[in-house]
Amino acid sequence: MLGSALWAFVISGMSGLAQSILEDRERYRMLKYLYVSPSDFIVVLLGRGVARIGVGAMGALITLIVGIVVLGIRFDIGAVDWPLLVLVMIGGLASIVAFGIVMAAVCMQTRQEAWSYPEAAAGALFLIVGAVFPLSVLPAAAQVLGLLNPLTWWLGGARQALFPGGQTSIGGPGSLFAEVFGHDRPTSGEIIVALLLTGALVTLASSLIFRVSDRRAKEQGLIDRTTGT
Amino acid sequence: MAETSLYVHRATRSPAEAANWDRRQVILNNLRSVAGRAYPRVRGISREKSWLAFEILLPFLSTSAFVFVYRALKAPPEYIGFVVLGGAMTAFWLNVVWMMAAQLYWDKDQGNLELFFAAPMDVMSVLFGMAIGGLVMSSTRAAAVLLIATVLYGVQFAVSQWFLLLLVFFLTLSALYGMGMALSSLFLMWGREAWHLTQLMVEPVYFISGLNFPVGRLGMIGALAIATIPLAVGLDAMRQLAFATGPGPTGTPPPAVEALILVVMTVVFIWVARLMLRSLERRARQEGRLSARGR
Repeated sequence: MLGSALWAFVISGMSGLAQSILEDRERYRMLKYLYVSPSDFIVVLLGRGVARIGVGAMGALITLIVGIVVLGIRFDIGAVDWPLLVLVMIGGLASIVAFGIVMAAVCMQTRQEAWSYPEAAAGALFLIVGAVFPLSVLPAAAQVLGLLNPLTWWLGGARQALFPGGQTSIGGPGSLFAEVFGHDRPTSGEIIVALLLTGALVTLASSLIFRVSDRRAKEQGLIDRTTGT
Repeated sequence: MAETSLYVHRATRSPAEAANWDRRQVILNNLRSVAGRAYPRVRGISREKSWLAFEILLPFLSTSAFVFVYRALKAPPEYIGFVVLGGAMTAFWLNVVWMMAAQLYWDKDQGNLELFFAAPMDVMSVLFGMAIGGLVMSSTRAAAVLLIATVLYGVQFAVSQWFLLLLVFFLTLSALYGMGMALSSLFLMWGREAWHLTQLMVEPVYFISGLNFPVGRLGMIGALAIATIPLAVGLDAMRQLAFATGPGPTGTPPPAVEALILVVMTVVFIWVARLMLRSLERRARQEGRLSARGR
């Protein structure tokens, strides 16, 4: 339930940034004007991304409330580990924006049919981050990819903060995490360190990818290109 | 020498008489319209490579997620088969929602709708053409998802009645596309909200149709879905027939009864589509507003 609810952030964050490129370029045909405005283009994009994340937050909140009120999920607000929750949410949302920037960079290079790319990328990530099932059911190679992904640690941390002592999506018997680290479930400290490390990697990579895409878009004249009706 | 064609196949004494088409001309003209509208969808099966990849990849990814959920829960293996079958059928549902229901609205936006109404044909031919083309297009996607997921996740089917299974499958498609035909007029009337409506008709319908679990588990909601949504009733019947040794009765009607429900749905949806299209056509001619863009 929590994984599905929080996934609303990923969907809206990733597709929001990418679709803002496609909408502004192909539909409203104003990307070129945004581009030549005095603001830094990536800051404009980030602004739109944050707004979309706000929309995702509403979806996540509604899902959680329905889960608790209608489906009867046991939730003790007094037991919530607030410091951990705040830290993992900040790290997680920053990572989502970084993934969104990567998708925006990809969509800048592609045609208007690219609207489904973010959805596909989010769908692929959904499989390896332990959103709705523990990583331990995946093959070892997929578990490695999952452990290198900040979204895995974000979801695991949020789960641990909201439902302390509940089942972990990262560790568990037979998981790669348990084999490597020698204990069944990650501690709060391990989660924060892993989230910061993997998040920093993804953020750096996204910044690099965006710069390369931006330069190529300028050289190839992709900023004001329209490819459909 | 007199030329014979669909349009000039009999000698007439005046242009007015030539314009008065006989039944043969009307039927042939409409059949050509069906073929003409189906053509781009059939030809387009592999033309846009990225669509081909994503239309297979997206249902496959969501199917895989549920397969892993059931594996984590140690559910009976039939449930993985349920998910795979449901994943394959999403290709048809997505096609019905995006390329049938919302299509006339997009045609209006692109300026085609006024041509459809002005052309000397029954607009139902356009809807039938869309349905046939979409059906062929989606079949390739559904077959790919079914094949890949079956092999990858080791699904074992236990079919008891092949004939009934095939019959239910084709009835499901006819009811689904009949529904799409009826929805296309509705979406056209609702105008710019069409995009949001298509969104609304994906995940919620997946849930109440029991795409990834037996619909009977939803109780009253499941019963309502079986009575109104072709995807729900078709999937349930196909699951009962394709996994005959699967989990016991789920409280839904037997496949033969569900096949009858699908027949009724097909007839009703196509009749409603025809009725709504007639009404739209009349409004388009009387008010001249239907083809105005941005509504």
